[in-house]
Amino acid sequence: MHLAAIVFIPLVGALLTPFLYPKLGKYVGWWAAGLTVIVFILVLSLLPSVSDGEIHDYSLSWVPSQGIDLSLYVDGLSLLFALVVTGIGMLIFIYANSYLSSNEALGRFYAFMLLFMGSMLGTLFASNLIVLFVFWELMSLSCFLLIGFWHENEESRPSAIKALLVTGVGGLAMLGGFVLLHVITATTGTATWEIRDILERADEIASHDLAIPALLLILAGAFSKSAQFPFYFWLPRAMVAPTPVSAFLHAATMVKAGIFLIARFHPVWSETGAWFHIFDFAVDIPFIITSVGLLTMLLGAYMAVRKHELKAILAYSTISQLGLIVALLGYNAELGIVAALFHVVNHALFKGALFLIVGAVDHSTGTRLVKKLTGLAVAMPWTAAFAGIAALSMAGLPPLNGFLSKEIFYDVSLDEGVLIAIVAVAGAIMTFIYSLRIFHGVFFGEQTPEVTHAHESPKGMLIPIGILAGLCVLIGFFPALIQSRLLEPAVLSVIPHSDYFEHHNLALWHGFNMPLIMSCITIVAALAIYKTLVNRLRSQSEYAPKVGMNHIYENVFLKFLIDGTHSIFNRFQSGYLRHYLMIMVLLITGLVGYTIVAKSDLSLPGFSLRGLEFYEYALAALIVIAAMGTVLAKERLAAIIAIGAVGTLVVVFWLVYSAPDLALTQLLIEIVSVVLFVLVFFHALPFAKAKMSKGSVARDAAVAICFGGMITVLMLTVIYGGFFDDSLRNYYFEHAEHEAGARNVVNVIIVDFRGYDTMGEITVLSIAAIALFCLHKLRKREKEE
Amino acid sequence: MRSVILDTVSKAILPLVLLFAIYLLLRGHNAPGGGFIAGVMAGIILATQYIAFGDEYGQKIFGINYRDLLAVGLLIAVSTGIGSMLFDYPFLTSEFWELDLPFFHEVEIASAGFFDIGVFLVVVGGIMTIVSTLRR
Repeated sequence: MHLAAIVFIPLVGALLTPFLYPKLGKYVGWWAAGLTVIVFILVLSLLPSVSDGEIHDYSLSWVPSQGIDLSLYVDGLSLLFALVVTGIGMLIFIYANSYLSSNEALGRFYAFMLLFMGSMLGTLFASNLIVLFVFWELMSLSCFLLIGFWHENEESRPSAIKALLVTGVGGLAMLGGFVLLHVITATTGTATWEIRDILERADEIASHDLAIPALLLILAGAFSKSAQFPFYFWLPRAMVAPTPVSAFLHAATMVKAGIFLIARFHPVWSETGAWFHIFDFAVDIPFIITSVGLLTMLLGAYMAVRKHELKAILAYSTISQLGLIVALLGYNAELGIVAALFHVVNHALFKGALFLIVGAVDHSTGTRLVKKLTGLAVAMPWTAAFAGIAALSMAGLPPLNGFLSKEIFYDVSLDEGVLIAIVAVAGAIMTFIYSLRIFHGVFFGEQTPEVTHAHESPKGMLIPIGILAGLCVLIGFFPALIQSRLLEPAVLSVIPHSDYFEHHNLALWHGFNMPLIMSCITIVAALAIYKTLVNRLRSQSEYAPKVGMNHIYENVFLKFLIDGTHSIFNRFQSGYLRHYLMIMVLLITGLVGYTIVAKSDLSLPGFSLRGLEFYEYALAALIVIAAMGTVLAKERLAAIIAIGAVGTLVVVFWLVYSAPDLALTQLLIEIVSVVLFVLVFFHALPFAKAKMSKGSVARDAAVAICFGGMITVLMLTVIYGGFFDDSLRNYYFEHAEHEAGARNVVNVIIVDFRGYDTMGEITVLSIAAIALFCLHKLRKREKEE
Repeated sequence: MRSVILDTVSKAILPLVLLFAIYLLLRGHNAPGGGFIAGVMAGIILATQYIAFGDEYGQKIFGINYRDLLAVGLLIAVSTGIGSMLFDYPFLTSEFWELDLPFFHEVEIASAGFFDIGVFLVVVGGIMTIVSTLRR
């Protein structure tokens, strides 16, 4: 229940917020912030028991026949992420209260933010793959809504769509991976959707042939969400969102969901064998993860160095840091997991702080361009101090938390080989340079005109920044604070038998060793490069490479999507009802006809017309005559009357064969059809205009004969061809009385046994009715204009 | 164009047919009938009123807009589905209770019956929304 409360308080809060907004006005932010505080405390209260190794769970029956339950669980790993989400979320909600002016659509903003928070917590706590997927996509949706928050802005809309498409396509790939995992469990034992069962059976799953395709699909989802190459390009564009959104979703939390997913499935992918070989070199999943991570790290860091706008720098820096964490996971070493999870916390702290600082600078000066901002420390001393801590932590300078995780990163990279160690140092040097650009470049030097009128931020913004920066220092000095309670349980839930922390402690000073030398090289090299390049970097024009993933997205992917859709639509959506009807009829005839021919030998034992009464022949003959009358009628009204006659005669058949329900339904439907036909007369073209050429008459006749023939053969094979399986019918008859308490089996099928279908049908009916109403309104408005 | 015959007849049979529709709705559980049939029947008689008397019958019944009827019906249907979740059963699990009331004697109340009421309302609302839109 506790877990459900954590997930559903923000979600329900999101639903209530728009209704509370008119009453609360600008105080709606405090209501939302209050909810986040409650959720944070609830998450925090799980900490003692979870760090002792206890696992909480909660389950609600959802689709038990498919093994899908709304089940949640929390272990060390999800708790670490959940604390980051709720803790930083709480601070950002408080910050947003001072950041957003009361003219903004605050109700919408906080509703989306809470929706995001709930769906992220749901993703973290999900114990069922389908539940995870649903929350994952809810997260994509809330991200889309938040990026497009200022939807009147020209840039916001395409950016929001871009994020939705990229992460949505990734999410679909991930769903495919989940289904494959489910299939694998079904072939090796009991089929399951439960993540814990899958992790327990990691060995047998990993050795299955489908394991690597499944994992590659899941990785595609994780990479798209965590902005890894080649999907990274949506993240910089997402910066059009309000800064609290960037800080929350696109730096501290949502983009870490992919990392969470990779860490969660570590037991499975770490056991898989090679995917393929290049010469003697085996390409396996850990190798793919590491190389994608390292490539993203270098690419992101380089782009961050070359950018001029503070949020763009931070966005590429986030991409780079996420790449670092992904690479650490891919090393597939105990130490790598430790460093990755530690860096998740550290990155959330310093990057969250930096985004909030950029928001404060933007708020105070009205610009985010590095060129226009120098010497800001005079006007904003507190912000400058916090920026110093956060930026230097990102750069990996002692005694801050970033230094600790970078040292482990060096350590574990050294184990992987010299080449990777060099890549690590190169990445860190570039990280150092852009960190200096943010801190030294903006806050020191001569004051620009924009800066002279700047003022320090209000306390509501400074305090959250201060807390984040303070934590950076605190964890730097006392890493033991989070080691045993937070980090160790998290590592243990990824590697169950890890004993790393029994022999090692996180500490600032590890003695004079190779990582320390590498850190020294990093610092010296970065300072030297920064000093020589600082002015050139500043004066360069905006760096925009000619060919990037963004161009591929716009010119290939989007073009393909839009043009492809157009061409398919133009082919099938001609606008003529008779064409749609023909396509549908032909498709059904083909599919059913093929099945009949393939599955039955078309012999009909026991088929005979003997025993039919005279009136049955007469009825059948009347129906045929009425049907021919419909086709041959010269007047529309005559055609309608004739088709009504067909229906009514069929009703008589139902009565003869004692199906009163069907008879009643059919009769009423005939009447409704006539009423609707009569009404549509007002709008219809004169009948003569619908006259067709001989060729199309012949075509339609052929289609009609095929369809009619197919139905006839279908009916005959169902009844006489041994196709008829009456187990379902018997099931309904046997279970209707005592399970549904009803004697009308037809009705019980509609409202109970197949209630889900009926739910779909009434929804479709409602949508059709409303759509018709809207179309009519639209046309009326067009006419008036 | 108004027709005296249509006016008189449709007015006269309106309460009867509506009552019969409700009868069909309620007895659907155990005898021919049910929400869909009842909804179509009520829809037909209301459409007749609309065709006979025009606009004032085309938008509302008992002060409720037909489009709202769609929403209400869907809400009832979904709520019966969610109702079973509150008792830890999967969505749309049905339950029935047999009560022994004075005068009515044995009365059976089934959660599927509420679902059927939702179907009924959606069908009435759907037919009337379509009819009143097509008319104009």
